[in-house]
Amino acid sequence: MKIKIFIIVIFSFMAFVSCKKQETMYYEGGELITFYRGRYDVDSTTYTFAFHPKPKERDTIYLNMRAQGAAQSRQRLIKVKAGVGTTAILGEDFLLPEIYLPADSFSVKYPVIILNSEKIKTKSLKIVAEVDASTDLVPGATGREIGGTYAMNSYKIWFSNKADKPAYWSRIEYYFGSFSVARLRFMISTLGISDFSVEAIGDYGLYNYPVTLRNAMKRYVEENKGPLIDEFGEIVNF
Amino acid sequence: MMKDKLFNFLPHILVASILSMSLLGCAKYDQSFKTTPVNELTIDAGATIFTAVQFDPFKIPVSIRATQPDKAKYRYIWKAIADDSVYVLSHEQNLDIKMELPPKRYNLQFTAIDEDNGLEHSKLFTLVVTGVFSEGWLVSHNIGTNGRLTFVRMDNKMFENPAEEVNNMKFPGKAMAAFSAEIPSYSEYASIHYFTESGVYRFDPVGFLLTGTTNNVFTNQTVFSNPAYGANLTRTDQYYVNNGDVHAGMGSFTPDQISMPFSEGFGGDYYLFPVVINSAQLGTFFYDNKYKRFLNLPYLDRQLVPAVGSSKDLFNMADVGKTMIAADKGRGSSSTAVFYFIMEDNSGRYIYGLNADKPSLFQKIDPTKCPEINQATAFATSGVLQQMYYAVDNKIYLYNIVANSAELLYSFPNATKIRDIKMKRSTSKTLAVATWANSAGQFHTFDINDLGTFVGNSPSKTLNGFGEIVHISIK
Repeated sequence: MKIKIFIIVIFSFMAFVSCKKQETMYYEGGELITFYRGRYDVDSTTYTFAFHPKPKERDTIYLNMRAQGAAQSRQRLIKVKAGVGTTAILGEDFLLPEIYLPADSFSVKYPVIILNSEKIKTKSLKIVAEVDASTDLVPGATGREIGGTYAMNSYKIWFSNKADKPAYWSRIEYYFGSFSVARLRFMISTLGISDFSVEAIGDYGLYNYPVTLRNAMKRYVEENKGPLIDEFGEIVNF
Repeated sequence: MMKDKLFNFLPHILVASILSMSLLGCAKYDQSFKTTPVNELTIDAGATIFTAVQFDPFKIPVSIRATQPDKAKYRYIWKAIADDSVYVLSHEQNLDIKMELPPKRYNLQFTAIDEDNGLEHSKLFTLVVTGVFSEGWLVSHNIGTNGRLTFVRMDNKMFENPAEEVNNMKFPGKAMAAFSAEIPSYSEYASIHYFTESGVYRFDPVGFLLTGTTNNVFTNQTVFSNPAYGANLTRTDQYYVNNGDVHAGMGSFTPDQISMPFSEGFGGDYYLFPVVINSAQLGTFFYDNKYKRFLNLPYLDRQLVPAVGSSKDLFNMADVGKTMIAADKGRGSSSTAVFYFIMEDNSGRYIYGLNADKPSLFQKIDPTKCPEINQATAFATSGVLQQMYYAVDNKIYLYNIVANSAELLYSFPNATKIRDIKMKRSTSKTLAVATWANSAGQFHTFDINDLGTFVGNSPSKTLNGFGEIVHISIK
């Protein structure tokens, strides 16, 4: 009996002295940055100079970048390099400028500048944009993040001046019809825009642009005494 | 040895501790139970819901009955509460203020505070503050060649030319029509569209501020003629019928795009009568006076297709064969509605009915029982009873659809011509009538009783100062 009481007292004492406030763990390490994409986005894109209403010498593709770790009260240098697999020539076909992540910011749009030239009229070039270490930021951890986005250290861009099918076409095909160069050129000349991605034209464009195109095609048929035939031999209509 | 003694003594220490704690825990309960009757108040303002117009004087007299009136000495406070905001309106017993709250619905709290004991006696009311240009009639009229949009509020207060006064600018062109374009639940994107021969002007419905012109309302539209507005029952699309074609605007799926320009006309082989027949959920109907048939537009679609009809129905929607000369909505809900149509051909005039997507009425209007029906120029239907009002020259008749007979309700003086009639759809208790006589326009409202006839057999209100009224609509 006495031993039992003694044991209870000892255990009670141990239990009491073992209580301790848990320390909160914070991330400690280098300042990191990656590209990122949405849950249903892909890790690459295609671009062509071929469909602009007016010829362009250069254009810019913006890539999403996001820092890992705490925001800082100073701006931080971001460097991106051409990674393994790049077929375009840095400085001749494209530019990867050094930019700064603004103070107190987590994310920024990184501009990949692509240059139009004769050689991309017949072939596509590839850029593998890869996060490079700078004095402020180094490549971060990759993979799926809380919230469903994906962090990546590289992003691929194929670009050309060929009349290629835009990567987004499958998402707009229901509203605008099957892709053909003739169809897309007609859309561009009628509406004066060249980017028909859902992100660019929204639901308004998906629903209402086909009405404008249908009317324009009606006028085209009247003026040309016949329908517009695309490169596949199909009549273009909306 | 020492340890044994300690363990033997331990239970005694515990018992002694518990006894001393119990003893110390006892204390005298020192409280007085003497009571004094509280002065009870009954607060009465004659109603529990009040409506105020922004910037107008607003009064609520309050009567207070106390159980101990002699002792009464109070402080008062009126508070309006909405969302996270609390506005103190007055410290007087009777509310008597200029209403400066933003248009919204509020909880209105009146509190009388007994200065003797600090007790607060409160009563809660509902306060609805409407804008200066709240519910009313949009009256489009022309004084000579100058168009004008006049607003007649439901309390009959008339704003002769609010758009020009608010914006301090002219809106040239002869007036054609005006509509309140609004998707329910998205009133922040509502607009007034004022059509003139020079184009369309878009105004903010709260204050008549100009928010856009033709290019903001329509895509590539240059010709305007006989416009009519309506949204589909699912509120996912808005439509304008204009110049025989239909244009689509965005709706509740994309609220931030509601104010974007309506599409071009769909461009089909038809000429539409100016009405949007939003009687059914799955599609909106239109009527083609070229091929004399109903056309259907599935929601979110942008191409009209012939309505599905059958010769076994009361009439074949796909092959009506008559010219539509009037259309108006009967009873309806958020999911379905009845529409009535006046059709004509060489044999006379007919009334057709559509209930949701099914023909519900087909009847030749009996001219022997419906005086001057073949000369009628304006029509409006009740949303409560199966009745239709029609106007001929200076006279207004009530057509009983079931009995297929009409009675004369009111005659203006002989020189007066009725230009338009419109039913206040929300109640079917007010008929607005526009008249023209001696180079001057008038706007009248008739109150309607439960039988559908006019209360007092005369207009409840007549307003002067109009040119030739060409269109009335409700806002």
